Amino acid sequence: MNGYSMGFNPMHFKNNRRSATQSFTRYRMSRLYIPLFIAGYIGLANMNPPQYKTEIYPFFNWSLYSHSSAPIVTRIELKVLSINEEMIDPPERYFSLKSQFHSASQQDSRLIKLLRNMYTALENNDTKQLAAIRSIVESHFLTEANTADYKLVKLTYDPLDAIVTGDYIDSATLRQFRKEP
Amino acid sequence: MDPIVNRSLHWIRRFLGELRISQQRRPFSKLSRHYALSNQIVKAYYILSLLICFTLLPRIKAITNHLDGAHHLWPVSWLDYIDPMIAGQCMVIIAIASCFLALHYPKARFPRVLFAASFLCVAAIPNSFGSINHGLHVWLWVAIIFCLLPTRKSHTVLSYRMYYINVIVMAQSMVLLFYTMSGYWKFTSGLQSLTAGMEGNFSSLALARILANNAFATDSEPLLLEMAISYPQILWPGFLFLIYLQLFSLLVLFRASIHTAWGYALISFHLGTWLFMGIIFPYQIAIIVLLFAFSPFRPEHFSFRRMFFCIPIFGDLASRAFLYFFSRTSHRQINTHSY
Repeated sequence: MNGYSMGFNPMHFKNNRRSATQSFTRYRMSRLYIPLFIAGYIGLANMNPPQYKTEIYPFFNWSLYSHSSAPIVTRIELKVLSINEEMIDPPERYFSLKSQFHSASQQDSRLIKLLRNMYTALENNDTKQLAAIRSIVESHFLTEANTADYKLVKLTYDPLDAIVTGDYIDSATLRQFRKEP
Repeated sequence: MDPIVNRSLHWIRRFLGELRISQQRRPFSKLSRHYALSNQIVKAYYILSLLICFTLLPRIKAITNHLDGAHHLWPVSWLDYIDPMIAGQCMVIIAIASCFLALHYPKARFPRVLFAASFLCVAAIPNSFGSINHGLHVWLWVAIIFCLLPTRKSHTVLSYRMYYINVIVMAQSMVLLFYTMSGYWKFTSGLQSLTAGMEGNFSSLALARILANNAFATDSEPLLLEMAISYPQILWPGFLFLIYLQLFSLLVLFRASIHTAWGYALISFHLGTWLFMGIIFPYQIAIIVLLFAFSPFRPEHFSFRRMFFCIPIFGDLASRAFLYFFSRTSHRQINTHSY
């Protein structure tokens, strides 16, 4: 298979030399797209996003599991105390309630990021932002429950120990909330 | 301007590209082959896009049914003013229709732009709940880059094909850039821990800790998690290899002989994330299959030696050693660009 059999015909250039020159100029310019795109993407993906946002959609810096290998980890968790007025004793972590909540069964990691933002709003006493994030958690992640009591906890643990024994080094309740119907 | 660009690109290719012995070929035969394969890839992309959009239809319906309190991302901020369920379904249907148009009119730009715009909105809907997942990002970025594919009107045959191939290279560079960025963060985080005298990404327990942490956080039980935690040292070289694989991905753009092997290595990595973490990236895998496992620039004939010499760092060292000891061919003659 060669160029001629694939439909290439050098007469195209002889017939219209000016348009051929313009066309090649466009091609030559297009070669700059790749370095420009790479530089632009890196710049935008690493820009400081607005508060409570991790990135500027659809740019992302692709830092995935970069800092998760520490021996001691601190994580913000959601513990459910009751669903539809039925107490859960002891309170269960949200992702353990796979039969009650669809997002928990899907291991929806968006909640993990959302709880981190909720913690930041709590730390900054930003009641407006806290209410906004609460409304997303309750309407989207606790959607199956008509009423629910839940609390935000800060867990400190050794992942290798916690996965085997389920024990934490420290567990501190940050605030308790209630989802109303 | 142009001579500077030419010289810089030539220098980058010589410096980063693979070592190959120059061969006499018929004029434009390589270009024609690359173009024909690139064309197939673009068609396959829009066929797979159709499949993705059809599977997204029920998902978008379920999401738009519970949009209370949603913080719409900028592409779908207009959903506040109209019925989100109807609008969401309409966006997916527009994406499907634009895929059909892109397949029927491959040389028209409008269907590709329409698909990229509608898919940008569709991918924004599930991410409008205060945090963003990145499963659809790669697919979306390829759609955006394919908007740059040339239209036949403004080009001669030769420049059309060269421009077309250039856009495919751009899509490849974007996918590889994402992996390189991911590897860069893991590598720098590991270096920071190492210099601070702490256990980090280069420690023998690093991967076991990442896997245990992920499984604990989501209360999941991936298939091979127990083995990974019981024998962490076995997986240690695998994690170091993963950091290497991701970090040097962008370099592979310049080495067509290893595109296929690198593609399969990345697919194996994604298979690993499923076996050890229970996380699957189907769209990412599909893009790697299209752009790398079936790369339009892959050599016509497989050569293990050429592939080995293209492996970043190790292959470079081996090829230089090989040249030094066994070959009389000068560096200048054999260091040619692969495209």
